[in-house]
Amino acid sequence: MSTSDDTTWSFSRTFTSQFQASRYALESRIAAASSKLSPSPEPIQELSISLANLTKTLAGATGSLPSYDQKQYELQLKELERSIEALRVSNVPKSKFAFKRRPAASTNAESPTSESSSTAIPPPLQTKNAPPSLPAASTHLSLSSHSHRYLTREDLPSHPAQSDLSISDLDHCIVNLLPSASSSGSGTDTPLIISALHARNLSDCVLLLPDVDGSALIHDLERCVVVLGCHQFRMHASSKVDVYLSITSNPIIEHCKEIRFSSYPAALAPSSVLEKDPASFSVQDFSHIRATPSPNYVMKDGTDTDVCEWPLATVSGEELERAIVRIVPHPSDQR
Amino acid sequence: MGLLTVIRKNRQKEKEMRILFLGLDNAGKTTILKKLNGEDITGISPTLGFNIKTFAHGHYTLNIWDVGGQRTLRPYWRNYFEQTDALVWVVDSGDRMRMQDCKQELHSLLTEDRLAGASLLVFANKQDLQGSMTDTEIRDALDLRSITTHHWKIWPCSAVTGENLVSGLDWVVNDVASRLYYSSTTSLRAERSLAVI
Repeated sequence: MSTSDDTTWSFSRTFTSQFQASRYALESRIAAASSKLSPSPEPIQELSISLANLTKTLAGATGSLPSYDQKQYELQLKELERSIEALRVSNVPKSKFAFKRRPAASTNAESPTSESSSTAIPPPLQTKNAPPSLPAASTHLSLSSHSHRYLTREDLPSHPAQSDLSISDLDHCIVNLLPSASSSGSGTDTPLIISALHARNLSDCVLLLPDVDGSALIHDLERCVVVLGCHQFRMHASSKVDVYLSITSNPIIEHCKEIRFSSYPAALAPSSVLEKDPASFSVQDFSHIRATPSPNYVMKDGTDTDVCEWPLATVSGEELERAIVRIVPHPSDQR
Repeated sequence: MGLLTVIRKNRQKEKEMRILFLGLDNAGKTTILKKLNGEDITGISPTLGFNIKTFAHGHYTLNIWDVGGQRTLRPYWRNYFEQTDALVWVVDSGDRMRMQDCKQELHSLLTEDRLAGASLLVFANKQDLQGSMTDTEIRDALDLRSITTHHWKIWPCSAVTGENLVSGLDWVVNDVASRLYYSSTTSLRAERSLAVI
């Protein structure tokens, strides 16, 4: 009995390694083929033959593999099949309807090529490179690619009074967009109305933001402090973040770790925030949909706010560094 | 009440459509539905799971399924594909950073067998936001023109102001109707144009 188990086990192990090796080889061949602009039909034919062989070996191993693995492999093969199919489609010129409109046909023929190359490579964070390729016809506010700076409204490009704001790729920065109490009258008197916030890829940063009119969407933050008012709050793939929030719905987190929530500090609150009920929100962790409390975040008591001195004035150099170190959560700082 | 009237009424009742609302998180799926239904939209939390709304639109009863768009929930979308007449893909027009993500999710949906033939309406939501992308920009960013397998249309709208929501729904309902209830649509259209006059 045990010997048969052993043979099954060792078989499945060797099979797995062989299968994965040939799958990777095939995958890279597909990627290579799709990176060429016009792959000829022969290599595609070869690719599908190798795929057929691989499918056959998998079929032959049925019964000797754990069913979960079997299913996974089948899915992987299906994925490969799809990318080969995309390659084939991109290869066949779409000349059938060419008489309709010539320019449209040519763009159609090209776009699947780029798509198939992107499906061949598993895509987690390509999105970062995407925005520049988009047409920049409509404008929006953005703060991006700074390090060791104190950023205020003066650093924003000129903008309409109401706009959405995107903050990305900052390191060791303090962003203070709160309406200044002692308005210096330098043309920034009109209140800045942010209609949506998108933040991505920030580390060791402090964001001091007023009440955002819409939703806040936050990705990839590490060791940050976020002070914010908004309708909806979503945070993804972040860790070690302190969030001071004024919100009417339930904030949610997904793929996050070591997040601490507390309410919007009264010391910073603009009138619009104070008007809202300082209601206690309940955080929903989409990575932990169980009855047990999520290990990924804690609620801090709103009354004993740790930070008593917010960096409201412009600082630079050493001082900036110290201010950030003082506020931002540290690896050892978790209680 | 004659037999014909009874039969007609019965047929009217059967005119149901199943519409699936999908899109990335923060696109505004739930907000659109609540706005269409005349509910309060200020306290909406991100959808954990799904909502079902049934309401009458023109001569049809719409069963609308609104499924949460968080990344952890997206694998569950496939549970809702069965017998879908129309897919409404909601896009946050202000979210430039995730357009690529949005495009990939949409195009992978369109390869699903169970969604074959469903009409596709792309709602370019949040047009009320300053600086949001226009419908033409979104059409190009999502590469909609490469879609040949589904009837599609992109519709700029705003869930907050309610602008264009009903007209977008009109298009998708008519498109489905022309497929499913071909025989009766012509008479309905005639009726409708009479009503306009």
